[in-house]
Amino acid sequence: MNDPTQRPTNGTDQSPPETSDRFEVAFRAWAANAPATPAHQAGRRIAERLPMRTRFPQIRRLAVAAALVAAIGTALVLRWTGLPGGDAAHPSSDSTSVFPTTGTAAAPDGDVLVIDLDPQTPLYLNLSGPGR
Amino acid sequence: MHGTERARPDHAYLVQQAALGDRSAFARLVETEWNRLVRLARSVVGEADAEDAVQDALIRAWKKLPGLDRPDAFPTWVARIVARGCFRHNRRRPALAALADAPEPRIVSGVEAGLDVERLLSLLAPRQRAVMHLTVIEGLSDREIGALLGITAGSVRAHRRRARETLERALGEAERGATRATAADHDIREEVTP
Repeated sequence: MNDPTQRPTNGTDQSPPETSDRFEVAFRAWAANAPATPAHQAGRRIAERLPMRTRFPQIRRLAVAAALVAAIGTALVLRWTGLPGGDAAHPSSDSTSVFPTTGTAAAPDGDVLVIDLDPQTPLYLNLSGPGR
Repeated sequence: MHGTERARPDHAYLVQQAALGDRSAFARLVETEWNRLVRLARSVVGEADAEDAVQDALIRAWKKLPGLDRPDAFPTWVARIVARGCFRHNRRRPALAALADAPEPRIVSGVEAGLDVERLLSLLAPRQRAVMHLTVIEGLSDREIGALLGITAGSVRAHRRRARETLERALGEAERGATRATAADHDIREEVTP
């Protein structure tokens, strides 16, 4: 910190000298007064007031909270719309859902995977790729 | 940086320790910066609220400290937080601005060159007060002041010019008032004297 009673040599611009000088002299004298609280006391007092610093910065806490809200929201939406993941009606009942929530899967010859979307709807997946 | 970024051998170490959560290191940093920061705050928010404003700003600085990339920039960085805190403080509770309704600046006797400095500062906008403080008290360049306050060097010059125009007007009025009072006093004395 500069000594407030000393006139700095830069940062001044053109203005009537008498006014600036008078004010600046008074300003420096006024600013030179020490704070009411001594520095060592202020340091101790502020250290006592410092909050715990968490491991996660606020932005990460916000991100985690947003992810949690999104997950809960998704679960609720799935539950209400009857999509898999909720306790909605099973696709093999009257639902029009085609998701194989409880269908079985089997690979009879090792290259073809059969997924029973429901008892009347098998889905064959050829695992060997095209050409066979 | 002149005035604010002083090279102190243990400063960077203290900043690093404080960033890791060492409260005593932060307390020592506060000790080194306290007087300078309170003086800055005093110019912007006035004597009564300066220390509270600095304490609040320092607690904010503690929370943000792990994000400070350059430990040697701590003095400027923390002064910026204090200055912004003081501007916010003024918006919430315009303590100095309220003084603008008080009588015009008076010329007083005393060590402050016969001027009521706090009253004169109250006539300036908060940013103008900060610019005047950083110019007159800390002796920073326009570029350094701009970096600290987040404005351009041209804005710094404009703030300072307007501040000086305001001070010039106020001091002129105060002097005319003092002259009129002296003349009236002289007239009364002449009338009383046989």
